[in-house]
This record gives sequence, C-alpha cells and structure tokens, in this order.
Amino acid sequence: MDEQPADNRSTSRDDKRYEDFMRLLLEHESRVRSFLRGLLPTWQDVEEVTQEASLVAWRKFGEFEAGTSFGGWLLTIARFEALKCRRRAARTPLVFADDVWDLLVDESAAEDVQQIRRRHLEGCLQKMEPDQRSVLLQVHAAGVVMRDVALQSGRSEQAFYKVIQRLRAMLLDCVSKAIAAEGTA
Amino acid sequence: MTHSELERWIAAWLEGRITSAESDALQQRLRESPEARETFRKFAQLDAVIREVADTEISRRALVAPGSTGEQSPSLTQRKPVASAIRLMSLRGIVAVAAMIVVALSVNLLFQRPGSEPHIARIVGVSGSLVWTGDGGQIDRELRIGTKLSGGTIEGIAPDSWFELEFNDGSTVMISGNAMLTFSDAGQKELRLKEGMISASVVPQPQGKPMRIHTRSALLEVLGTRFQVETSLSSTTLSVREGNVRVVRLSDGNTVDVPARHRVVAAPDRDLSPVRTLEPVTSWTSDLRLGSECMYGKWSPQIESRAATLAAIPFVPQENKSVTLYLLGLPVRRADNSPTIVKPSSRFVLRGRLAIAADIYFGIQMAHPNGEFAGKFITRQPASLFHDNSDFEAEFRLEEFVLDPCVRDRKDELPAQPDDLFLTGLWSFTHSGGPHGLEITQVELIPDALNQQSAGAR
Repeated sequence: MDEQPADNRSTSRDDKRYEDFMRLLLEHESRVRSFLRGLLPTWQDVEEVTQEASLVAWRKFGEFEAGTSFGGWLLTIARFEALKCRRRAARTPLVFADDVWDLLVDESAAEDVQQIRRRHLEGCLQKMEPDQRSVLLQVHAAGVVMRDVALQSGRSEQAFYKVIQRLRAMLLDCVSKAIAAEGTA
Repeated sequence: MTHSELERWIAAWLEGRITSAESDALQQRLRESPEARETFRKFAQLDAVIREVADTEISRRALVAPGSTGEQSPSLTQRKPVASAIRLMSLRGIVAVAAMIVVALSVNLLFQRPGSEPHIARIVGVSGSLVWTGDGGQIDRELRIGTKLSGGTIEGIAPDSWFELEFNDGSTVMISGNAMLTFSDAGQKELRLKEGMISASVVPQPQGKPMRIHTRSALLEVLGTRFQVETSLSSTTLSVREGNVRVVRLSDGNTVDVPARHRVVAAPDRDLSPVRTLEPVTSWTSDLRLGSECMYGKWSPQIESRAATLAAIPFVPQENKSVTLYLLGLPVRRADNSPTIVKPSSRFVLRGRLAIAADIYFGIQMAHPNGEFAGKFITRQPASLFHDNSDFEAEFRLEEFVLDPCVRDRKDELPAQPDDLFLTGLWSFTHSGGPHGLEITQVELIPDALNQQSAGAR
C-alpha cells in the first residue's frame, strides 16, 4: 500500500486549493482592477483594494461554490472592499456622490464586453506609432506622476494633457472600429 | 473621436487633478446619461489596460540586458504570474524614475518629430456647411472630425455652420456662423479673421511668440487665455473670459490690455478702454434697421411704408445636396454687448411674411456661459398656420426645440435642451417645393412669459 500520512495528504490538498485559487485569481484580476479603476480615484486605492479583495477571497475560498462565476464572486467582494475604502476617504472632488457611485457599480460592464474591449485595446496599442505608444505607456506606468512628467516635458501642463488625451481618444476610436469590423465580419 | 468636455473631465478625474466644479459637472453628466457612464467605463478600462501593459513592459525591460528595447509586450492573457508580479513590485520604484526621464524625452520627440507631423491642427468638431482652402489651394467641402490640416482658410457659409480646430499644442479655436478664418503656425500662430465670430481657448504660448489674431480693425496678441472675438468691416469686439489679451487698434496704433471678464470694442469712433462684461439679460429684439452686417439673406432697408426686412435666399446643404433650403440668419447681439440667456419658459416670436404658406423652421445657436459651443436647436411651425401672401407672427416656445440633427452625433456632450444657455445666433428657413418668399421683419425673445403674467396680475 502506498498510503500517505494524513498531514501529507492535508498539505497536498491545501496546495491544490491554493493553485486553484491562484489560477482563478489570475484569470479575473484584470477585470477587478478595471472595475475598481472606475470607482476609486487613485491607483494606490485600486492596488490596495485589489489586494484586500484577493485576501478576503482567499480566506473565504471555502465558501465559493465550484461551477459558479468566480469573477462575479470576486467582484462582489471587491465592491464591498471598495465601499470600505470610500468610507475611509476624505470628502474630495475625487470621491463620487452615493447615487453616482451606485450607478457606476450597478452598471459595470458584462464580462464578455470587457474581454472583447480588452482584446482590442491590446491590439490597438500594438498598432500605434512607436513613439506615441511609448509615451502613452510611460505616463501610465506605476509610480509616474503625470503632472511631474508634464512639467518635465517643457510644455505647458494643459498642452501635455491634451496630447495624452488625444492619444487615448485615438486608441478608443481604434477599439470602436475594430469591434464594429468584427461585428460586420 | 472627439475631445469633448466630458472626456476632459474624465481624464482629469483619472489623473487626480479634477476641480470641485468639474467634479460636480462630471457627476451630473454621469447621473443623467447612461452614455456618459459608458464613456467613463471605457476610459477607466483603458487606463487599467494601459497601466498593466506599461508595468509589464517596463518590468520586462528592467529584467533584460540594457539595450534590448525592441520587445513587444506579451498579451495580457499571457501575463506574468501574480507571484512574479509581486516580486517585480520592488523594481517599480526604480523603474518609475527611469520612466520619468524617458517619457519627458519621448514627449518632446512626439511634439518635435520633424517631417512626421506636417499638419498644424486637426478638426475636432464640425457641422453645417463649411469650405476649407489649404495653403496649396486645394479645396475641401467635406470636412470630418479628425482631419488634419496644414493651415489655410476655413469659411462658414451658412448661419448654422460651426467648426472647431485644435492646434497641435492643444489650443482650440471655434468659428460659428458666417465667418472666415485663415490660420497658420510656423512656430507662431497667426490667425486672420476676415469676418464673423471666433471663440478660442489658447494654452500658454512660447515666450515671445504669442498667438496673433488679425482683423481689419485690430491686432490681438494672446499668450494663453479664453476669449471671444467678433469682427465686422469697421470694428472688432473682444470679450475675455480668462487671462489677458493685448489689443492694438490699427487705425491709431493705440494698445490696451484686456483682462478677464472684460470686453473692448476696437473701432475708430469708440473709446478703447476695457469695460466689465455685463450680466446676461433674458430678452432681446432684433433691429433690422441697423443694417445687414453678419446676417445671412437678402436685406432690404426700411422705407416709408415698410419695415426693414431680411429675406431667405437659396441654400444647398453640403450634407444633402438633393434639397434646397430658403434660409436666412442673423447673429444675436445687443448694443451694450451683454449676453442673452434663454430661460425654460422663454419663447421666440418671429414676424414676417410668406408668399406661399409653408412649414417654417426656426433654429437657435447656443453657447455655454464660458463661451463654448453648446449646440444648435431647432423647431418648426406647420404650413397650416400660415396663409399665402400674408404677414405672419409665429411663436416658438423653448420647450419645443430639439437638438438639430446636424449635431446629433455629439448629443452626449451637448445639453439636451437650450435652457439657461446663451443665445448667439438664429436662423429660419422653408424647405422643399421651391421658394416660399420667406422674409422677416423682427425676431423677439420674450422671457419667462408665465412669470411676467403673474407679476403683471399682482
């Protein structure tokens, strides 16, 4: 008989459970971050709440029913964690009023819509002119403060923001066209 | 692709630099409009995706040998495992500093790329009939949003024409109605406004190189501000909303600096001192006796037995060449230059004459209090209300106006109703079936009719 000791079996089960959790988390983490970005005013908040939601999800993973939507379950947790974060935040122009917050939460895009948009966003980013793409990626990188970059560019802040906004608009335009083309193909 | 107010607010929110007033306005739009919320979600997702690609790419670069910068980012669906991402987090601080330096260089390259960006501006808003004549003499009557232009002359050829141009540095200039504007930028922006009205939002210009706007009667030098200019044959009226604009009166070389919320009229017979912009008024009556300046149509002066008139003339819209409109239009302005605001209970009364009874269309062009374009709205009174060869008095209530079809593609960013906006121009036309002999003698804006009645009853 090749019977394993009980504590080894337990460790093996925990490893398997952890792997399952990490696989699901990896699959859905991006969606959670996008969802939170549309609610929370700073990337620091987004990162903290994503992390907190992941920890809560891991602690409650035993309650998750296999076969149901992990993404939806994770988003529900993220939503509650975001609400806690919002309650802690000071009243600033960056914090949305309750009714606006509720509308944004309730109408968060369906998963398939998000995935389609995301796929085209990646494709359109690759198609951009290299220097335009480079600027866009660099101003969005973690730790980069756009205002500082604007000042360092030697241009007026307003001119800098307009350039970045124009690049973003180009990207969204490309995504809309790609989605429309896919729909008509 | 538009660079709308909504998108600017969303960007400001995502970048953490939104003001209280902008935040209030953004939230109001989000409350009212599902489309605005969808736009917001798109930008939030865009921000999240670009950040993930950026972090992945910069982290990868930090891990490979220096100089290997030509890699493409992996698809996000094939991204690094979370555990690896966590290990890379500590690199981010170092990478961010490098990124700051690189991005500043890249942005300058983007601004200065020789030869690769020969155009000086692009169209960010257009409606109605316009003609652009380029530097090389080429003519384009089918202007579209996103078209890049390398200088030239833009001409609005109907009262409902509207056009917004964005220079490469982000400065915007808008013409509206019958206007003719020539623009160039060879290191210094030079604009020539032959006639009509423009409003502009100018970002700070390079030292010693202000934007210069030439009219027949004045030269304006702009370092960075928001303002509106209207010019005719003999005078130029400048209203400054933010910042400061220097005006040189060409007839005598006198110069004056016009501060925010002030206006000045540069004309040989007027005092060149800036005066404070007046509070808006809620009533307005046209006075066709004063002449046809900036009007569209055939003007006839007052004679003994009849009032001055403005008659509709044929007009073929570029967007639908199979119809001929019989169109007239006039700007809305008062002698003291105070702005005219319309209230929800306002109504317009149009007085004139029709040779053949026909539907009468009546349109108004509106601006936000800061001078930005706020849409065109239109309504109609049916032919059954009018008689052949008869004078008419047609009433148009504000609640009957809807967004003009020619700006419906911008409905997300324009108010749905003209309430509480500033009236800048109006037009009227008859449609199809030949000329109907539409001519007008007077247009009147009557404010708060119900309130006035109740006030009168008291």
